[in-house]
Amino acid sequence: MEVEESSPIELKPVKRSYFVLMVLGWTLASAVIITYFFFSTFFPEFSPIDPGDAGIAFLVVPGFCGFVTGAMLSEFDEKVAVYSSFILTGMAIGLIFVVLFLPLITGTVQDMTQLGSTDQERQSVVLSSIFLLPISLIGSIAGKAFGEVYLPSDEDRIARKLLIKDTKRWHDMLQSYIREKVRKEKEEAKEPEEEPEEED
Amino acid sequence: MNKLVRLIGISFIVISLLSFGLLYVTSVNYLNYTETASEIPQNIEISEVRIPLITDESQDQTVEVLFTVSNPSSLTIYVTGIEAYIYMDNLSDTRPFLGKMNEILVGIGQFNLQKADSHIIRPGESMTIPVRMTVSGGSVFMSILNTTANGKYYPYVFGTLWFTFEYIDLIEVVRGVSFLGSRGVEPY
Repeated sequence: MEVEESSPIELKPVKRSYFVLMVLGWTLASAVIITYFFFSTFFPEFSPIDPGDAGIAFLVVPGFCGFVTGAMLSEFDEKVAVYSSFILTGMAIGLIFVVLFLPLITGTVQDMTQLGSTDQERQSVVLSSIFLLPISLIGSIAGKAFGEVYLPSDEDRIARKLLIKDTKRWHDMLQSYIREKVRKEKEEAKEPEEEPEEED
Repeated sequence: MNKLVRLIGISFIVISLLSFGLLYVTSVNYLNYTETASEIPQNIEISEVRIPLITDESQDQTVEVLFTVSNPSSLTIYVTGIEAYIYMDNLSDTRPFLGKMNEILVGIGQFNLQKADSHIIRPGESMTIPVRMTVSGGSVFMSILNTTANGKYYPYVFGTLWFTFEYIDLIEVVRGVSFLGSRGVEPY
């Protein structure tokens, strides 16, 4: 059996900048989607399209975004999926607050009472935004699991194939080794039986 | 990166960019709405109250209140309704206004329009909107209206104005638009 000395895939260590870029990129993309749906659900009159039912913004969108983020970051550790959901929620809440207080930030109005949203609406937004974390966390973990099983990278796939091939080869070698050993043991067991015959 | 991951990634980025565009428009609308809603109340005034010279109290008379609305904001507004409570002060009654307001009420002039028929004021424009009230001849309100001192009327007007926006279906109410005719109004 031919043994491959070197693998065609070199598993390079992940660069820190690549890792940071990936995490920030995917979490920011998710946060933007969540922010739009979240804000437009509370203030549908400002949205150019109908954002749909509130359940979409509170449950479906954070879960979906967390899932995709987890799947996209599935090449990294499990803890990255957890951290990314925290970053994603933080970014989304930050963006929601920025949009909510945009007239104050830009200096359009000087007073909270002049904002286009009421105190009650703002309180609802703040309280509801807390629920983004558990939903995006569940989505992220599920996405990570899905990504690992169904969306491995080409490198990972080849590495897995090589691993399967190697394992099979080692399995075959072990089988033949065991068979050989068993055969030798049987032969050794037969030899003492033959020896007394020769003595006689 | 395999093809399926690439496809999911690109689709997700497209959704994200689309959401960013929608979020931008939503934010601008929110910003403009806040700006308009905070600026319009300071730009509404009752510029004139027109009361005819009443020579015969048995005939119906029309009082006209002119509301001037300026729109310094960046959104077009639609004035859908105005309500004006018109009082006529009797200078011989020295009580403060709150003490005699029920006795000097002449009537309410108002209109309510659908958005399509409303008064449209574009950014940077001003408009004078008349609100008319007809007082029936021979009524007690006619005698209240026909109260003059030194040949002048001394009306008080308290108005409420409703307006909405071009692309935003929210109705704003501006209360307390007032006209205090302490200097008197010449009849026309």
